[in-house]
Amino acid sequence: MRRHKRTWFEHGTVAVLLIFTGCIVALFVATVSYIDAEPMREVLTSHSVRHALFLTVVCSVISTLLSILVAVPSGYALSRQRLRGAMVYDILVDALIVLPVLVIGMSILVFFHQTRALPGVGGFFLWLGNLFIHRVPGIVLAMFFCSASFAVRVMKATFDEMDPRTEHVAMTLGCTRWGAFWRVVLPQARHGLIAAAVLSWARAVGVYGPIMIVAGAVEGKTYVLPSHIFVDITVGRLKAALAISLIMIAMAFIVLLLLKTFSKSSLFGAGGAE
Amino acid sequence: MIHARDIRFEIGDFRLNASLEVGDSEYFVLLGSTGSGKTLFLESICGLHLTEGRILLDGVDVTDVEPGRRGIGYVPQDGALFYHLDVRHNIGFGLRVRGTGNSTREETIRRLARMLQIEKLLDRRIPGLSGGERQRVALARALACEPSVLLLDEPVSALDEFTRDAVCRELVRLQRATGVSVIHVCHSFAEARLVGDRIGVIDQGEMAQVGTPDELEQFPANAYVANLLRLENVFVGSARPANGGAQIEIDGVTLRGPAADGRVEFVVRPWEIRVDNGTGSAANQVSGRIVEYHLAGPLARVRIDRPIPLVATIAREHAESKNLAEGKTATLLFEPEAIHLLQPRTAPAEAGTAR
Repeated sequence: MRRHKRTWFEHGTVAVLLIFTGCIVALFVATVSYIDAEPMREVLTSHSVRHALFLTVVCSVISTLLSILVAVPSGYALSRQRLRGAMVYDILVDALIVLPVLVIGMSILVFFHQTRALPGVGGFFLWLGNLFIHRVPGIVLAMFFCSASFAVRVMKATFDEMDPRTEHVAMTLGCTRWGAFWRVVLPQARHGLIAAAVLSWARAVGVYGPIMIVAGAVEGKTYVLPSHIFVDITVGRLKAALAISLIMIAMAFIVLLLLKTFSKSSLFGAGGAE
Repeated sequence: MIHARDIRFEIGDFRLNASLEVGDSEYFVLLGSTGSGKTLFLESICGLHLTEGRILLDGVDVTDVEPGRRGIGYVPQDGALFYHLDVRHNIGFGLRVRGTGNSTREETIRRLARMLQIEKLLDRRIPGLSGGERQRVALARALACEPSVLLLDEPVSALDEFTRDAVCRELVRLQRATGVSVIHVCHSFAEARLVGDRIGVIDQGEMAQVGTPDELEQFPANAYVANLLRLENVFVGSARPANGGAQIEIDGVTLRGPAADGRVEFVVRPWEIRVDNGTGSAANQVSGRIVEYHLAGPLARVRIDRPIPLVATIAREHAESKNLAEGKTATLLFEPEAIHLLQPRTAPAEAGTAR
């Protein structure tokens, strides 16, 4: 059988892909080759790192769940409803993607400062501020505001790709609008849901600036892995920082591998409908 | 029986304002060009849009009833199947939503699958199915809930020509077998003629004409209907009364036609034109050089382009006996009755809401 002969264009695209993925591999190899066993053992047995790992996983998962809970209805509304001023909603959602995450952290902090003086509701916001500021829930809050918009965008794109007539058919077959959404739209959007969850989780795991602003960076209390890395670098513990980086790299690979295995398709290219 | 009265709906600049009556066990076709409002009308009957007007199904007012409780089966273009379910669960979806027991559901699925010859597909996923198979699954899914009316929105437009005809014939067979009333939306008169007992032509959101396929072809209401039916010999001329009829001038040619005065649009029915090479006579005679001579089965199509472009559809036997050929001169003969006057497009036909 004759083999397909690649054109110069096809060779070119493959070459760019190879260079890019090669750079990624080089980064990981450099990280791994820099670390020896001692700092790795030290990091793995450190109470502070294990606590930070625990907080990172738990807070990022909660933040991801919250993001999905917000992204599904928001994405659906943006995709299907004829909203007056839809562009304004679009801009506001995208603002959290475009803005530097430090600005998001500062805004959260200032929000609680400003609202506590509001007549009537000031007490409630003060209580809310005390719940979040310099405490663990603040980590979730910061992660959520930095990552939810990514999930909203993915869900909107997913719903955009789906044929609204499947909902219409479901309704003529006896479903209410909610029933059609639950039984038809959501199951068909599963790839989009996974992609939204992965994107928002990855963003949540990666942020540390806003977390340090909102929840602080108290060792053993509000340290997450990225803030641990940042603090270790600032005090010159480069090998420890790289060892924690390795843990994060491993986490990312395990999650991506699991999702690839279970979803059996390209996460970010699959869209909503098959 | 379905009776949609004065259905009004506005979306942007488009305004739907139409009525329709479809009898028991009738196969009705809603014909219109793209953007004419036929899908919107169908979706309004389904209850998917909040519209003005009343919708009666078997005499019961269902205007304010939820889509799922109207007793309507809906098959949109390309089926809109549920990709996350296999064929069996697609067909049984409506029954499951209604809480039908497993054994009854399975029995219904098998019966419909047998009827539509898709038994072998029951465990298949949707992505691997062909266009025709998808349509059959969508039909089975709509029929599973035993609707009294089946609404088909361009059910065969995504199929190739061969499959399209086969599926159309199957749709008619199915409709006759189940006795369900059908409203079938399409934009092809050939398709409409193949399946429809009656055809309603919708134009700019209004019903332009309703009639049997023959009625539409013989007496198109206006130029839009004539064009949609792909009728040839549509002309615009100037008429003045003469001898109980009219003399119609077009491009220097005077024709004798039915009574009219002023600017007229009309069609000369190609199948009522005879072709001769000089011996015959009729009230209207137009001679010209044949620019197109095409044999198709028992028919021959003869076209001259001067003094006016005129097409005649005659028996092949007759054409061959006259030794017609491209380049030869022929005389096209027709009586005033072959001319049908068209109404202006802005005034919908009297038969607009008629049954």
